[in-house]
Amino acid sequence: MAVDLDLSQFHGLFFEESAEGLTAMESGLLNLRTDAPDLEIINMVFRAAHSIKGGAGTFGFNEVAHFTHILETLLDEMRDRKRGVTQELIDLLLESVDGLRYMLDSSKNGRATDMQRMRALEQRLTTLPREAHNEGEARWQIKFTPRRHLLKTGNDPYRIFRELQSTGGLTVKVNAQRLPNLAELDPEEIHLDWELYKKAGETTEASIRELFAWVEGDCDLQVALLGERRHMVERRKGREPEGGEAEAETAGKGHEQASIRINIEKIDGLINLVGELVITQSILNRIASDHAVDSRAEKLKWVVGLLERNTSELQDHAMRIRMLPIDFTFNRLPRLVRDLSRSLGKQVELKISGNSTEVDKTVLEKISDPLVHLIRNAVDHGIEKPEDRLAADKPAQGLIEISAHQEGGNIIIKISDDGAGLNPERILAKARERGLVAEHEELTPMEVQNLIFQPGFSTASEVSDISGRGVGMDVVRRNITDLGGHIELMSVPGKGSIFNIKLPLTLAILDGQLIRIGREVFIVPLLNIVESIQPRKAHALEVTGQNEVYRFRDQYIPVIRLYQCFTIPTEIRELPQGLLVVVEAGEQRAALFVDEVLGQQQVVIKSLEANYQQVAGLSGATILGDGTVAMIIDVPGLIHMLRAKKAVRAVV
Amino acid sequence: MARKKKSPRTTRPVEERDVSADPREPARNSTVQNHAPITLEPVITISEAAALKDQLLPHIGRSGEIIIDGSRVESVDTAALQVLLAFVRSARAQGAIIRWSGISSALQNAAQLLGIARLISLQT
Repeated sequence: MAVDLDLSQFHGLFFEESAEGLTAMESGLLNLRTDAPDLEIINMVFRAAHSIKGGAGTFGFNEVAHFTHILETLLDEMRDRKRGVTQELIDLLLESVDGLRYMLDSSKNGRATDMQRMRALEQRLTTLPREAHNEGEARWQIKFTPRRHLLKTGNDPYRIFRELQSTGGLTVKVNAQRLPNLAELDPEEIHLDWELYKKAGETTEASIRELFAWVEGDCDLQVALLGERRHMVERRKGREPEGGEAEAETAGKGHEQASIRINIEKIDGLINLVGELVITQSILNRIASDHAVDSRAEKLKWVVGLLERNTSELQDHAMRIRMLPIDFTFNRLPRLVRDLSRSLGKQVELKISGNSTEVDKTVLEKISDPLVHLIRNAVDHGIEKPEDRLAADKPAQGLIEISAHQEGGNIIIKISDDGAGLNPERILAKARERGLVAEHEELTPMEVQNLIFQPGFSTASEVSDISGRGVGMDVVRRNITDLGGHIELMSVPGKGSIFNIKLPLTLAILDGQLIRIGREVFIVPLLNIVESIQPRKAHALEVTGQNEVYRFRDQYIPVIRLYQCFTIPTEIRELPQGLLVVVEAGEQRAALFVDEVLGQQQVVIKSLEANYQQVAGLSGATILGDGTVAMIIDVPGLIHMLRAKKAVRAVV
Repeated sequence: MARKKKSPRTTRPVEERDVSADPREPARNSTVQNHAPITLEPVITISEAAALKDQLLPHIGRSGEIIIDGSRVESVDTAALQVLLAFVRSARAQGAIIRWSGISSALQNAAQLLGIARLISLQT
């Protein structure tokens, strides 16, 4: 009897794996250099294409299989060195990756594929002339960009090049894009830059640099060794006769780790159960410590202690299943920067570090768009055009750095650029124009910078299609605050900008401050708390109507009386009787008026939506050690409600 | 003798030189109408770059063939070659065709090593 196997149940898996394959192809292609193509990379790209083709064939996505086959043929020729790696070829392959992604997306969402688009791409792939493979010999690449005044110092690039040539050959590529018309040319200023290539065996980096020593401050110089991996390995072998090769071998292979694919629901089920276990454990803990002292109670306490350790380790491990390296988000960025800087005529280098830092999958997915936005902004508005950079005595190539690292229960992402920085005058003028700042209002430099996070604020005089319209920094900040994180900005005009983003590693647990109002216990996320203070009557101020403010360090912040928000009966109604917990979300601060501040504790977050319904002002609930339920206060939500001046009446 | 005579485009450089050698010919470069070759000075370096620019600038806007004689060049540097490159580009943008009637080895070597030879049609 024939088994009629329904393959459609595996489609999800195929799409997911193909998407990963495409990402791998993309990042491989981006790292492929035309001057010294790395066979390893070509192989990797080939393998990715091959497995997409295989899957597509199996599941009957014939168009995908057909198109991938053409790609595969091309990659195979590159692998066998029948086809040289040119920029044109890389660009076309990247376009093909986009095309494949488009086809797969259409199939996944049941949309029709625009076959004309694919045919056009196919046509270009099959008719691309085959460039001869240039035997990648190890050689020095020297990028030499003189500053404009270089000739006036009595130095002459021609003389330097002649010296370089004297030890063998020299390949010279001039870039004259910046050269003006003759009429506009100041004949004593230089507007050319060069790329020089010289065989590695003919000279050393030190002697190259020595030749350029005279012009050191008057130019931009980059020396790099290009060449095949084989050469590098051989060079290393020469230096370290023992084990050099073996080391190179293991570095290539040791990284692959076995993995299995698990449905996310199964993991969340597990994490939820572990959360329950942690709560049960803490109840048990409390009971054990309440017991009178006798030998059996001692034994019980010891066992409970052991259980506590195991539970928290179990929780840690369970959480880690949901964690993914932030590289899943970062790996989109090189392509973005490459395409953007090209279309804008800018030179930008992107440096990524800390890409193995792990973060919860949900956080990862939600942070992706804000990061893309920030990087777009850095390329579009931050980094200047090469001629402007040279005029400002900076290297023609701009630098954008993005890094991630873990700090306690948070992940810190830092994005910096060495571009123009924010222009305070322009921001202020714009803010006044938009009515965000009153005509004579004075702002500190920090306050001026933070204006860019205001809704509807865009400093670019003309809105380009790169940084988008409407969607601005306010959305970036809101996305980050929604995740319980915050973003900081530091910018120095002419030097560049730095964005610091702090996010919780996971949304499943949080470090909380327990507070009491009447007989209810609430939890305020520690990340939101600035300080807890004993209120003084003199600092309290009632402004017209119901708005009550409190002076906190030269700043008037609104007071939120939580017992009013959540209609809880309490004796404590005068400020000096209770405490104020100063909280912040984004740039907004507020003081929460509470009866008492209790201890701090890590709590497992239970979703209110899933178990009850969404409640304004609360972001979730948890179960405390004594078995009671405590609500977690949604600080951004509360502040937002206050600002919106809506009647805050929550149904509990 | 008709002074308005225009050289046909196919004029050989040798003939051009003959015309310019004519004693009744107005000073060289005073008018772009006569297509005398532009003769480069023996020394064109940064000190002479401004003068070189002044020498070349009146020829921008000429259409047809522009002939440059670089056979007397003995000393040349990056500044001068940059001026030449800017000239060739600007002239071409106005529809001119650049031809060399003579190239000294000093000029050839410098243009070659700076990667400019092909850009100013000096490639042999």
